[in-house]
Amino acid sequence: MKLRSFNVSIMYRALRPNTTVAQWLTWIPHLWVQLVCSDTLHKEGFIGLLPDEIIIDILSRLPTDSVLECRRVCKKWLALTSIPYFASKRAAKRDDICVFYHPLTMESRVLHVLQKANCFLYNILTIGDKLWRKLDSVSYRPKCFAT
Amino acid sequence: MSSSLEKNMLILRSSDGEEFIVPEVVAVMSKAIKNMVEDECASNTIPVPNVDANILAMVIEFCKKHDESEAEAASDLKTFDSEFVNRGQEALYDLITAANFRDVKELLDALCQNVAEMIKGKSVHHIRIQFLGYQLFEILTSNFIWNIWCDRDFD
Repeated sequence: MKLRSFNVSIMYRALRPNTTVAQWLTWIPHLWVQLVCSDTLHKEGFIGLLPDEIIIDILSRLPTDSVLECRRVCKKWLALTSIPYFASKRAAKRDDICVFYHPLTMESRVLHVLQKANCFLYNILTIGDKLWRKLDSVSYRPKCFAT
Repeated sequence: MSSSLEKNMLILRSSDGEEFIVPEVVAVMSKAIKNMVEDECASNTIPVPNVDANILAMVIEFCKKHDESEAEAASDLKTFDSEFVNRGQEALYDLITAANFRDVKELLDALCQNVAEMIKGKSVHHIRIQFLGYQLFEILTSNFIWNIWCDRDFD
């Protein structure tokens, strides 16, 4: 209710007589996008039509900076690159990465072996509990995603 | 009568009815077909639904090349792969679907690698426009106009 009244007041202030006509018209494109294009905004092209498992396969072949870029593309890709299955698949393809997994908190951590292995193991031994285990392969459960 | 000839040949029928005669060694590179052959639930003619003649021909070409050149140098095979998968987006989509459906691991690997190389190093907007079918208009308006609308002062 509060949000709604806020919007109404914005509309009212925009349509005040002492604003210029050009200013009145600025909201039309946005309205157009929201009303007409809202279902086409997330329409899917070539990669979006593929099954999730293949998208994961494709994304897991990218270098790290490209993966970070891809996580910003859409929510589905962010979700797909956030699961342990993705991390383990990526770790299987590259030898400089290994993944650790905490079975209770369902937390996973990706580790660049060459740089920080000793530091991370040190942290596990000192601060964290000993449940962390190295992740070799994870089964893919498509039920995780509502598409 | 001609069982000796047909023993190691299989006939694949695509969704639009064209038939391809391929040696069994090539056909069993697809795990789905391999399972069918092993269980002997298929006669000589194996229907391949969802895959049309063009795509099936490409897949067979790929499998033949891989079957022949097992002894050859791996670099040769790699260059063939990279040339083979260098196609338009529609053909790529059809090939990936076919390879996934028929479970041809080598082809799927090569295709995914190719798509990954297409994505590599591109910006978010570029990926959205090129691969996810967003229009430039939508991207510009959805953020751009709304930002102007929010930022302006009302005096």
